[in-house]
This record gives sequence, structure tokens and C-alpha cells, in this order.
Amino acid sequence: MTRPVLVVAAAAALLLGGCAASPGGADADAVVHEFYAAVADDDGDAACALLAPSALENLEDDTGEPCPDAVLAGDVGTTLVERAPAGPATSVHVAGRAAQVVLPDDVTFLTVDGDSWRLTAAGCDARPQRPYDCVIEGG
Amino acid sequence: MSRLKHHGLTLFFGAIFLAALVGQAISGVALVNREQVAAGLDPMTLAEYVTTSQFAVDVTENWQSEFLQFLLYILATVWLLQRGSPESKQLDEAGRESDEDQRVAEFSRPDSPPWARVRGWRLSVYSHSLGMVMGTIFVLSWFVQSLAGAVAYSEDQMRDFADPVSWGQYLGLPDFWSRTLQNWQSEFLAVASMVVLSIYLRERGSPESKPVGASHESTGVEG
Repeated sequence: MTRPVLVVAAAAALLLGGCAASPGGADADAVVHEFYAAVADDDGDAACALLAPSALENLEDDTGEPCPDAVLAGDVGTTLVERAPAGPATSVHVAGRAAQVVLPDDVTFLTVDGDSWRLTAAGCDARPQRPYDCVIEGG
Repeated sequence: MSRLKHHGLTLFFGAIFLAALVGQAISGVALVNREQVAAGLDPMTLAEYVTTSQFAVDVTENWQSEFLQFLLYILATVWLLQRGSPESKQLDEAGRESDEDQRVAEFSRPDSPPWARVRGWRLSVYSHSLGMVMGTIFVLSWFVQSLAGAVAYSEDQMRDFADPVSWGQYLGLPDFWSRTLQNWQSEFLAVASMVVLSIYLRERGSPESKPVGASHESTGVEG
């Protein structure tokens, strides 16, 4: 009787442990802070390097500008500068290959790309019973 | 060769279970990787996929319903009857039956299992061991389904730029109950179908069928 119990318990432990290969919540938090620091330093290239491919493509399609310019200009640039975090994240949630980092003034979403996190959305506003509305959005 | 013959049923179903599980993993990672590639992300390996919550919830939601089906079937057939079905006991045998019929304690035989031979807690436990194990596996796999399901659901939520949920919140969500109930309905239908169809239909040589020439009224006989 004990063997099936051990197999199922081991499976549960594996899931709860989140499986060592993926980067953790601390890494997601670090990527978000690095992104906002790059925007604050007017370093569009560094900021774009931290965006997921689909977020980068959508930003360029929506603005008609290359990402390093688009991320610092217009509504996107203004929003990101206004919401730059002055301190640590309020909360970090990781599930599988997706993460949400909630900052004092912003909400961001990330995905695993290779072995590191990349932002799929930033500058997000909550909407009742609907997904967040974000100035940068992948997918 | 006779060992293979005497254990063929287990070997056959064990083998096709493993084949189907591998097939589920391969088709599952292919499905996930279509989404990964569409999003411009690196594809996942099979080894990575089988440790994801998505794979775990897809496996355990099916396991829990199978073991619930067997648990309910084992327990229900103790008391509930179906005239004409080989899945039912005979019409005068409802209940836990006599110690003599069950060959326990003073009615046990030399080849009876050890825990069946002497009255006490061991006999009580052994007398319900099948239901207990099925029930335990059902509860544990349903629990793992809920844990893995909460993580997989939260992952989908965050992919779609929505808030993740806790395990407690997930237990009240349609995703958990939809997965659970869609599996339960098919299991219960399968048992009901087997009980009823076997009244009127036959499969020669199968112990799950009545003998081909047995009347539709004969109950609790096997072919």
C-alpha cells in the first residue's frame, strides 16, 4: 500500500518545489528592477534586451519605431518613468514558466525564455473581471 | 512461458498504460511547444514537460476519477443489485455476507491469506483493504490534481496578464470542478453502461460477460 502513496507524494513534492531547472521569484524581481533601471538611465537597448520577443515585436508594431526608441518615448516611456519602483516589489508570484511581479506603482508579467526571465507585460492597470491593460504587452 | 500466460492480463494493461502515458507526454509537449514557438520562445524538452504542473494535472485528473470509479463500484456492489447483470451479486446476497461465505476466522482454509484467519483488527482492516487502497489513491491523486491544477491555472492566468490564484481560491473555481466533473461523468456512465449492456449482450469467453446462452434474467453469473 505504501508504494503508490510514496509515488504520489513525490509527485506532489516535485510540483510544489517548482522543479529546479526554472529561475525563481528572486530572479524575476531582479529582471523587473533591471528593466526599470535601464529605462531610468535612458538605455533603450538594455531595456529591450529584457523584453520577451512577442512584447518587443508588439511594441515596435504599435509605435512604428525600433524598440530602443519606443520604450523610452511617448505614452510607454512616460508611464514607465512614472511607475519606476523606488523600493522592493510588493509581491512576486511564480507558477511554472510565468511570473507576476507587483511593484508599489505597477504590475508586470514575465515568462521564462531559455534560462532567464523576460518581461511580457509592463505598465499594467487592473480591470474588473478582465486581464490587466498594459502599455507593453506580448502574446 | 506459463508465467507470462498466468500474468498476461496485468502485463498487457501495464504495457498499454505505459505506452499511453508516453504518448500523452509526447503529444502534450508538442502542443505546448506550438505555443512556445508562436510566442518566439524556446521549445521545451520532453524531460522538462513531464515535470510541469500542466502535465501533472492532465495525468492526475484522469487517475483520480478512475480510482473513484473503482472505489464506488467496489462499495456499491456490496449492497446494490441489478437483476440480470453479471456485474451484480445474486439477488439474495446483498450486504457484507456471512463469515462462512467469506471464509474468515474459523471458516478460513489452509490457503486463506494470513490476516483472514484470526479475528481482530487485522481481519477488519484486510476485509476492507481493497476499498481503502482505492479510496486512498483517489484522495491523493485528487489532491495532487488540485495542487497541480492551481499552479497550471495560475500560469495560464499570468500568461494572459491576469492575477494568479492560491490553492484555496482554486478549489472554488470552475476550472477545478469542470476538470473533475467532466472526468466523473464518463466514469459513472461507463459503469452504468457495463452493468446494463451485460444484461442483454454477450462476449464469449470473457468473465465480464454471462455465458452466451445464459438467460437475460440470470444474475451474478460469469462466462
